[in-house]
Amino acid sequence: MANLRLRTQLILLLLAIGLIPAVVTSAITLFITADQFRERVILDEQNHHNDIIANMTRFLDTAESDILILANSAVIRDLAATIVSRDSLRLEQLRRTLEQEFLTMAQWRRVGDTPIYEHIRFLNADGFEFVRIDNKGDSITAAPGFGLNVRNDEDYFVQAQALNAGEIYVAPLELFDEFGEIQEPYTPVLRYSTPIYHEDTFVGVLVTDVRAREFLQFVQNLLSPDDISFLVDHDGYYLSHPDEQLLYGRDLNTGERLQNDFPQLVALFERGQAGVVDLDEFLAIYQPFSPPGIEENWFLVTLRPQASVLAFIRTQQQALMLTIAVIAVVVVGIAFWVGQSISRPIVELTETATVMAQGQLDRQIKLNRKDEIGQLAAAFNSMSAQLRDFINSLETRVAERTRDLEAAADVSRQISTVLALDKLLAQVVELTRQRFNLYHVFVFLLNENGDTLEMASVTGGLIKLFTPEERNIACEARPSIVAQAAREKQAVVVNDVQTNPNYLSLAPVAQTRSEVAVPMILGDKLIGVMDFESTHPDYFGADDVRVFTSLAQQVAVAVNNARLFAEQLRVAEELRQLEQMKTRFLSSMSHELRTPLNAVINFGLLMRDGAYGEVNEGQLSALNMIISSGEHLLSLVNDVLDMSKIEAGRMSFYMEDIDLKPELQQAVETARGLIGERDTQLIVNIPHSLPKIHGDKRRLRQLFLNLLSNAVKFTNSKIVVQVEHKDSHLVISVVDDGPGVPQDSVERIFEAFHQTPSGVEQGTGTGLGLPISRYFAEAHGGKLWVESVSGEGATFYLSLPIARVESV
Amino acid sequence: MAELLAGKRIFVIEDNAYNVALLQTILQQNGAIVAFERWGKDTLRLLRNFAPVDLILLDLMFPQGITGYEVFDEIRAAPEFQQVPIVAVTAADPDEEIPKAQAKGFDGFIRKPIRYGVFERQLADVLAGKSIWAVE
Repeated sequence: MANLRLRTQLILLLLAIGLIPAVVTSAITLFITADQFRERVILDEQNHHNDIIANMTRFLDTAESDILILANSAVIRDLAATIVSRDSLRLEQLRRTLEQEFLTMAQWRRVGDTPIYEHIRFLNADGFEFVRIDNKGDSITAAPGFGLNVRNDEDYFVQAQALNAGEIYVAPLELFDEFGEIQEPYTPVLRYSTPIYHEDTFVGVLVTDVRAREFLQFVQNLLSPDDISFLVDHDGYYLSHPDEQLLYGRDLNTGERLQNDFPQLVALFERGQAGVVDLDEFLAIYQPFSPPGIEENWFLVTLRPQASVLAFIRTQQQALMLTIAVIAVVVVGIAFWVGQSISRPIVELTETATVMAQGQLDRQIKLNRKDEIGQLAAAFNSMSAQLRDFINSLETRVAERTRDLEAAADVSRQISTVLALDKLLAQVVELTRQRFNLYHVFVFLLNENGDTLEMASVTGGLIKLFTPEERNIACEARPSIVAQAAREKQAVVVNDVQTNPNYLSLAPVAQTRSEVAVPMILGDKLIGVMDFESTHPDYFGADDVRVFTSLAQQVAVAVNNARLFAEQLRVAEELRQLEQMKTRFLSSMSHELRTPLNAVINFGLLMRDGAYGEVNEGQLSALNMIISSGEHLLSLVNDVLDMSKIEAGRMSFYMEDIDLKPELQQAVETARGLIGERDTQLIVNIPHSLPKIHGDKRRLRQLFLNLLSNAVKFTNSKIVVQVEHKDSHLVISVVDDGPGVPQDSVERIFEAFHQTPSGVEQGTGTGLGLPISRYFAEAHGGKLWVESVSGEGATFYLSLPIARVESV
Repeated sequence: MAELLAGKRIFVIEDNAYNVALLQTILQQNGAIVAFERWGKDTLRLLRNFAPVDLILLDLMFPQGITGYEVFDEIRAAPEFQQVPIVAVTAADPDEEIPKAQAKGFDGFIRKPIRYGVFERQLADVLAGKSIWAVE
């Protein structure tokens, strides 16, 4: 009877264990899934909206830059000049060239396979079409002479006349019309126009008509076939909609607009923010945005039918019910099998245990199983064996005590060199368990607030098995012998946990019978508690407690060392990361600054060169200032980036055997350019042949140029550059007759941001050139120094070691 | 004016509008025929429309996360463009990018700011079969 009852209980229990979580999990999952699915739909749609808007933005941006590229082209500039000079023969030639230019652009710019330009036109100053390209769907051609018309009262012509060169007028999106007649099939177009000038004379207007259907159609690229997406302009008229009847309500006077269909959305549009709203049948995801070049906001909306969201959830529901049913069947099957196989041996075990409890210690259980029941049997067997051994082993205990002391010394010796805290504690507990033959050993460390003991390490990697509550023991916790040891700062011993009311049994160490908790004390400060556990009752004596106390103290010292070490590592790592962040920041800053400098400096050079007409003296001097300010900014950007790389230890050199002469000569040429019209003599004295140097060409050129441009900056009338071969070095000297370097500054000028008074006066340096140069010299195994008498000029010396001759 | 690039067909991939205008001016002044792509996203199709191409100038960084190296791979994957020289024209740090560009097989690297007056000659050199690694 007893047998049957146990099995029934087990089956019921297993059923409960198997089914309850399955049902609960399913319910929760369903609940969460429904919610998450809705969130995901929204997120997907929002991302999709962003993609659509990015594509439209890119399209409009390209249309803007296209018209600027055309306006800036050589042929338009040539045409502008020709119109002013009234050379009619040349004008006719240019008409053909311009047609070609327009045709190329119209053929070339497409969305998918569709050319986007309806027309590209040049209107002369009277508004007459000089060249017009027509896109007839299947072909793109230049309009013949008799097909050209006057457009002087069109908005795009009138508005563009009022603009400066480089400015663009964008007409509101409208359906293509010819002299007021809307043409079918309806073609929505965006008109871009920009005025063309020759010097100050207005010569005409460049107009591009961009077919908008192709890019408005981006909106109909749906995420789900159930979706309805549409785009409206700021008055609510549909620009893109799956139902073509609703489109262009303004131009076609149908009055179809968002206000008629979804007045709730109009209010949200006016609020100007993206969002989601539940309409009756739909989930509406909406986003207003401002298309580049167009002076109004547009509103993108996607309607996802609620039914399509719910349908998904319903399928999920059915799938879950099926899963639960399958689990139930499987669990019942397993329950029968397990119940059968557990209950039989337990009954057998119970009988044997009863006999043992009556004092027959030599009785052994014969059970050949590897599961918990088998372990239980083995534990029974070993328990009885241990009891027998204990009685036989009193005389060996003295010898063991001596071994314990040696073991403690050994543990502390082995851990004294481990600096990583986790590793250290793992070694402490494992070594202690081995050497003292214990069940388990714990280390708890006091937290920063000093109110909680946190479990830091446990033998056998058991730490994962404890719950967070079990891992963190408040110092005030009762009952807890660990907390008690911390409060009293002395060892606490429990001889038999089964008879101690203060003992709190924990599942992962259920076999603990006796336990010692010892405080870890550094100076007079508590830093943690070590806890020793045995499976035997009365395992720990007074000697053990003394040995453990001294061990805990040595562990405390080791923990402290490890913490100090970790702190230092952390600080060092933080510094390294900061340096790297700085370099990365400066590197991207340098990119961002160089990009506009490219335009500033080079357009300055182009203008100075006369590319935009003759330059008068005042303009020339202003241009020179723009160019040299640009160059100065550029050298600042370079020097700051170089300096930060040097400081972060990330400066790299590409070393090879090189001939110095061409590099020096190139730097000298650049220096001559810097001297320009000034009356300064530059004397160069380089021997005919020089031994090779092992170095980085680019950095050395930078170094030479730095020394030479300093000399040009400071000298009065003369610079001498000389190279000499001295023993194993080449010594390059640069002599100037400027104000020289004050005696107290001959070293300081090599420090970052230090400038001499005359250097500050010049206002063109960065204070970084010499420190960088010295770093380069030293990275080549060389030296850079200055000798100077204040007021009588300065000599900079650079010595570089000669490359060792490789055997040929 | 000596037209160093007379009749050469140059395709430029560059996102900054002002730099587009600058390159257009300098290249056309030297007689080149130029086409542009601004985002690195539509390169191959535009390149095919513009072909034959003598030289491609390629920026290395674009908005929207595309790099010049990806564009480079896309171009080189097309059999008809495997021999066209490609030069990086970029404001990026040469310490970082030159080793990468050389490993990829670029035919040159010209650092921004370019040098009006020098740049045209550098391109003429590349067209004559040299490779240019100009970083000053």
